[in-house]
Amino acid sequence: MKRALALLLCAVPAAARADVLPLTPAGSAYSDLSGAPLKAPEGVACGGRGYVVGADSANGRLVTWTFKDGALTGGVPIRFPELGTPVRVQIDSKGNVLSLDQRTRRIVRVGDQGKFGGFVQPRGVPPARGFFPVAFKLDAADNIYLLDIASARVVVLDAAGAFVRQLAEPAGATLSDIAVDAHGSILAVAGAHAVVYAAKVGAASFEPLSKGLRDYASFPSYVTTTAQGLIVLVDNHGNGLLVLGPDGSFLGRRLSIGWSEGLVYYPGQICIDADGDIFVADRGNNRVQAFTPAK
Amino acid sequence: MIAILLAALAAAAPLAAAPIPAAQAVRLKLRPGAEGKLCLECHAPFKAKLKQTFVHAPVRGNNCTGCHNPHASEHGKLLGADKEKLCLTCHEDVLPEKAKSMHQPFVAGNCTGCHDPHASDNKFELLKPGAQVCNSCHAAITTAAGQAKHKHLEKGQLACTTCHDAHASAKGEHLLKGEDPALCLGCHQPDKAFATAHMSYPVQKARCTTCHDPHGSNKKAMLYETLHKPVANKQCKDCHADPTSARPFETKAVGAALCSGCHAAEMARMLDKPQVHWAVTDEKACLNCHSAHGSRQRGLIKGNMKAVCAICHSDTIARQDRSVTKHKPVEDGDCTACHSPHSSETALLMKKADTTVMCRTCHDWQKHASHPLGAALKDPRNKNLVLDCLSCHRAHGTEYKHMNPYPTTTELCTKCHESFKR
Repeated sequence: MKRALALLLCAVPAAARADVLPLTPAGSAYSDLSGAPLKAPEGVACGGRGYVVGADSANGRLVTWTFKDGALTGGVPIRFPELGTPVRVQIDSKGNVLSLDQRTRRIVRVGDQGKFGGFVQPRGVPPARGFFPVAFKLDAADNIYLLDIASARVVVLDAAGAFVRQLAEPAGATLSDIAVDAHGSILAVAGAHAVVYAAKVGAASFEPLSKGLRDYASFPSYVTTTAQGLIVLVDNHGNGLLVLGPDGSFLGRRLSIGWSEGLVYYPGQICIDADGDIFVADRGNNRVQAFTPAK
Repeated sequence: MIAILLAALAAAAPLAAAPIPAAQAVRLKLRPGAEGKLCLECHAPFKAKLKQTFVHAPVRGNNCTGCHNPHASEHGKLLGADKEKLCLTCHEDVLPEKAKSMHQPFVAGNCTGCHDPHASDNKFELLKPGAQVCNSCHAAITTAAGQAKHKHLEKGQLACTTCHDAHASAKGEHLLKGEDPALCLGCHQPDKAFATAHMSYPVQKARCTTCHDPHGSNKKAMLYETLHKPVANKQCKDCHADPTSARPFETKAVGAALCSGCHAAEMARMLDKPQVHWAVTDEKACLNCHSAHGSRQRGLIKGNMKAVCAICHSDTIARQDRSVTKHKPVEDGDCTACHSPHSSETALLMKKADTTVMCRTCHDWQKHASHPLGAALKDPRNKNLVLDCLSCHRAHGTEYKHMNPYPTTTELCTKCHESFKR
């Protein structure tokens, strides 16, 4: 009897975990409206009303789609020289698109009708060893969080680009990506050691949130959160997603390597919309995939 | 039953013969005077063994039963205990309380990999004299050390144990008997000539092995084969403060800023590509992978590329280690056969954008297989992919043969050729 009870207690969390972040393939976008194929897309962001924008990196352009009735439609290309090689995309609270150019390391604003809307010009950033942003995120107030690996820091700018504050990278960690959760905490993931760090609002430094996740992940390169506060990591080299609880505890892995729909090959950025739909910049498969939370 | 005598290592064996405990003699009910001699009645070849120069103390004391049970045992060679534990019952002092490093055979209990448990003509009952025993496993090091133009010798001989402990070390990594530079200063005094040779920098407070190869080299003063140009030209001040300053080792700039003083054009080319290796751009920059002074490796790489890359990419190297089929460049630590280590126009820092072209630099796929490949052939699983080598293989290996992503060839083929699926 005791043994049966113990087995039951062990089984309950395991069963609960199986329900965390269920993903059902909901089609992919392979091209723009004209049929021009995507090439190594590394970024994707989602806004309201099913608006999805992908960074078609190797083609040096952005492409927008609408996710409606469980499918991605459209495919309007956005292209201007200043986009360079877009790799990360964000949509601000007003629906404006910002994109990071991997070649010049500048954040580009997309203006009206898909035209160049200017660069984010960081102002007042304390001088350091260098400035080499590799990732960025926005919070609800459109503040800009930049991961500057040249100076091992996270720089926070206001929406206009003025310096707000900075945090040093955790000692001994080389960060791959950062995120801002609904409470304003900054999350960071170190790819090589597969550790998630957090800096709560007002904190001066990062603290480890998760244990080393090397048993579950090869090289997590992207971090974001769900509306429920779950932390989702993209395991770029391990071809999948890791789902963590808000406390950094491991809850499960989703997706796996492959070339057919529903599988991923070196995924880059992901985004999660208000309905819990997840979009994956499936770089190695030259497509943007959609998944719905339906079981 | 050939083996009846002893098995034990003798690194620190007392020279005096160990007497048979009286209680043991009584327990075995041996005839008076039979100790040791009785065993030799059957194991006669051991009589010659006992005439060798160095004899293990229990053997010399006729105490065969110190290690062996004459009747029965659950351990090989009728040993009285597991070989991992048996030697340590007498030689526990060879294991320091807090060892920083341990010799692999010692950890594995394979004492007989180096020692003859009975007798030998070599000190410590070693199987071969001096460094020759080390050569059995570490031939790459000992051969290079023996062939080096400028050898690190003690009394004209290679002597690994001058710097390394054979079993375990409480003082250093790699079984070193001390830390660098303290270990080196045990023999090399920082006198006036020493100061002159080092341009008056107080290098007795620095790490000698950043410039000198302790296993010898073809360069004078045992400097590493590959030297950073300022080191070779004794231009330490190109990068460091003046030797008379308060902080003589402080560099004139930090990270990439220091290196760009000479390598600006090269670094600009690296950064002008969309895919830049993060190691190039983070705080440590060049020093993530390169040694600032000298190295045994080409390009001043800090060590074997497989080990250097594994500092961050241990998952990739581990995948290769687990892989049934090995990819030679990964196995050989030649990561740059496929990847451009600084930057690239292509994802994953590939040297060539076209996978088939990349693989063809080593593999002639038309000899390898007749499966069609190339830009004109779409992957049936994904209309945005063309058929290339990575359609069927993973370059860093898998747990299946031929670096295939699926357990069987049938499973692999039917991913595309679905009509053949059963």
